[in-house]
Amino acid sequence: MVAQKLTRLQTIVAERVAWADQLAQIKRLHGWLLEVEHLLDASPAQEGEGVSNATVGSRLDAWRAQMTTQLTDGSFSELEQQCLTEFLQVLSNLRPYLVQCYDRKDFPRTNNDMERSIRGLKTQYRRVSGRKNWNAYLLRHGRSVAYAAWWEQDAAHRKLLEQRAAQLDRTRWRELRRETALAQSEQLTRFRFRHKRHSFLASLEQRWASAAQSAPLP
Amino acid sequence: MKALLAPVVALGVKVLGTISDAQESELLAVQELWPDVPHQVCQFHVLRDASKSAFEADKQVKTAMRKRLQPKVREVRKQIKKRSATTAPTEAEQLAVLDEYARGIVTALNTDGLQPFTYATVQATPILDEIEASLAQLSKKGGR
Repeated sequence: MVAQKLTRLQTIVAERVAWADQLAQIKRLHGWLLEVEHLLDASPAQEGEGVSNATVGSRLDAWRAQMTTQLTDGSFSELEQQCLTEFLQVLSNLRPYLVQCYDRKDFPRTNNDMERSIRGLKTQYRRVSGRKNWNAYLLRHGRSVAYAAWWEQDAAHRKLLEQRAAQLDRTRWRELRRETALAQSEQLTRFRFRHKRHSFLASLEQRWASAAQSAPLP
Repeated sequence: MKALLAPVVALGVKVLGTISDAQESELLAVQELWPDVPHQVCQFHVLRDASKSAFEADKQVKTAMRKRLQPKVREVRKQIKKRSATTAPTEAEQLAVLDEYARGIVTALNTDGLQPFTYATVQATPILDEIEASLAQLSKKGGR
């Protein structure tokens, strides 16, 4: 029985050979994708100091030219041809915007990098405030928190900030602040229900019990 | 999109560069608002769009493999479970080991891809290769 089941499993696993050709093609397609990602992920740490829009762009263009040549020599399957054509087409369409971030330090190359820099800003403000949560600081600077450092950079920038602050409608500002605080509180509750359910429900029960104790008798 | 960016323009801060996920409306808006500022499109978004067909092909192969192989593995697991209840402890232990392999095969067949870089079959293939090699080792060692 055991030997029979072992053989059966071996037979099932071996059946994947039916897709061997397609698997090999997909692996190649995936490999090309990773090659381009490797070209674009040209951090100075990996590449030395010679990373610029020009160097990365030139490597990318060389890769595109080489693949375009191979595309026409008939060595690829229909699937590879179709996928590679589409791949090169999109790269070509967006080429003017694809390699713009390497000449300036800290210019993000992906939205993930951008979000990482926002998280960095959060960390910085958490440290400044000594609080675990930066919401109070966000309330102070509002959506402009990312520009706070630039405004505080020199007298001219500070003056610009003062001019803008002088134009603020205080009532509107208070209203916005109240709305933002409320939105943050809602968000926190949703987060607690999703990630800290056990302790949050316990605290709600505790609040309920305390309220019930202090409620006047009917 | 230009209206959405208007508050940023009104801040009067110096814009050194912009980044977007390559939507045409975004490209046009930043081009109009900051024509001399470098604009980078999110490279993950570009690679995701560029490799859509390849990712779809991977998904199709994965689905086809799963559709054909998974019911067979499940059937084996069912038989193993049935037999394990009535057999001797040594054989039951070997069957339990085989059930783990079966679970491994199902895991590989159910591997999900994630755009742009994770392809299901590229992830699953080495798992199945190793399972096959390991099953061959079991075969050499023998079973009842």
